[in-house]
Amino acid sequence: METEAQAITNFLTEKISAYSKVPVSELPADKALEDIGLSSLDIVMISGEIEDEFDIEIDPSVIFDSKTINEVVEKVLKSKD
Amino acid sequence: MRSEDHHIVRDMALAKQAISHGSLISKGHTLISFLDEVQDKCNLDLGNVSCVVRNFPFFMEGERHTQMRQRVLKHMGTVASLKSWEDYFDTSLRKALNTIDLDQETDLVSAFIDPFLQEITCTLLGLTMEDPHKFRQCTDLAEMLLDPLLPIRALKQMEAAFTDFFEEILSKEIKETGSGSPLLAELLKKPVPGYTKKDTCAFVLVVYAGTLALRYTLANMIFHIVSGGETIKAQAVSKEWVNTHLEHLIRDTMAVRKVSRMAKENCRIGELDFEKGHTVFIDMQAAHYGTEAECPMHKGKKWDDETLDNKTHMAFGKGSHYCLGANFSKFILSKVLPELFTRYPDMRLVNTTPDLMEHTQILSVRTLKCYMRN
Ligand code: HEM
Repeated sequence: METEAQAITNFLTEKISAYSKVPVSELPADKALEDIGLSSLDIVMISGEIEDEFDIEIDPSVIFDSKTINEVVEKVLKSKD
Repeated sequence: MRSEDHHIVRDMALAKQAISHGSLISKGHTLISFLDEVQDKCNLDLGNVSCVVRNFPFFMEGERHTQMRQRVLKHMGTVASLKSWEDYFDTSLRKALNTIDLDQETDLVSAFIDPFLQEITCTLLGLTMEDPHKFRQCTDLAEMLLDPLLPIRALKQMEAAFTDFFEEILSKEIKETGSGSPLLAELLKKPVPGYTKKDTCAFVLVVYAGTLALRYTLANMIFHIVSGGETIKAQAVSKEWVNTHLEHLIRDTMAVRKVSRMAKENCRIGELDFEKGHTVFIDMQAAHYGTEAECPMHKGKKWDDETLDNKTHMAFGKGSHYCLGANFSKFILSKVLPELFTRYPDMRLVNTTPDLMEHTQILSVRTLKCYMRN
């Protein structure tokens, strides 16, 4: 069964792929987010989608200040506790 | 992660150049296009948020901005214009202090500073809402527009709050006090070209949000004086002492942490090269106190003559965005301090460690608990 962390990772990877147009296969969870080239608007949209999907509040700065997808997932999990 | 590069300016000489440099502008236009895109992508109506952003003085440039600034300064920026309000300010100050007169121990921020400043600034500007909580929410949300990354959730809250604000403000008469005509009434009577009624209300709402800097600075100033010991408190009863040292006090207690700009073209300031589109943060705390300095609210403040003579600061900014409330702030600070310390010569801090707010843009005490008498 998919763990919560996996579910968030998959959701986030899909969203980042959709906004950045980088294929999911090129977005391992330890890839540096800096190299993906998301705009501020993309980040705001993605954090809004995470809020709706997982029913939590997560500021765009959480993604902005994270180095990898893994780091974002950790922070999302923390704010769900 | 950084999708845009940024620079931090920490040196005072460079900060002075950067804050008023023609090639470094506020990020207003990026916020406007950001809102347009969010509206498009999320199918949201953010018309009232956009109206506030378009009329947010910090984000404006050019003739439309200058014209409104001139009108505001004429109305509440000169000593002569403030003099007509002097009796009203004095009476309100005495009333506000009366409300804490019986307290043995009080939080000066919530019991005195907040209600007093809110009362006089709302009256001076001509802004009030039936529900004070709603009004507070509106100004807090307007202040949030300075954050570089706004959550969609916050944008939705803003739209709802600003919609209520415009509806209520535009449907009622503005209260006059007899001291003078409030800013909003004046601006609606004789509009500045290029501003609709709603634009004017939005502008004045943001001016009100700017007054929070005075609230934060006054709280810091009282903290410093009370923790400065008996001799300093005894000096602060004198209007003359306060007036002579006011610039220094402002320098050491101003609450603004940083000011941001964006390079509209490639430019060089001092030794630094800025590329078009880069963000520039002017670190006001480092520029004033040095990068090695601890948080100024923690380091014990020095009160020797040499320190007190240091009056050079840019606490109110510089150039085309110079603070619209600078003279008003000085006028009020020079009244509050002598009155407060004359009434409460034995005032002491309950806790000598400052209770600081967690805020990226502001450095200030959240509460200021004091024993008011021996
Ligand atoms: C001690 C108190 C205050 C401090 C330290 C302070 C500080 C500042 C600073 C540093 C700026 C420039 C920002 C920039 O260049 O981007 C500014 C601008 C501004 N301040 Fe203040 N402020 C204070 C009080 C007030 C008050 C009481 C008001 C309103 C009555 C006010 C209204 C404004 C407005 C509207 C602007 C924007 C002006 C423009 O962009 O044209 N401020 N303030």
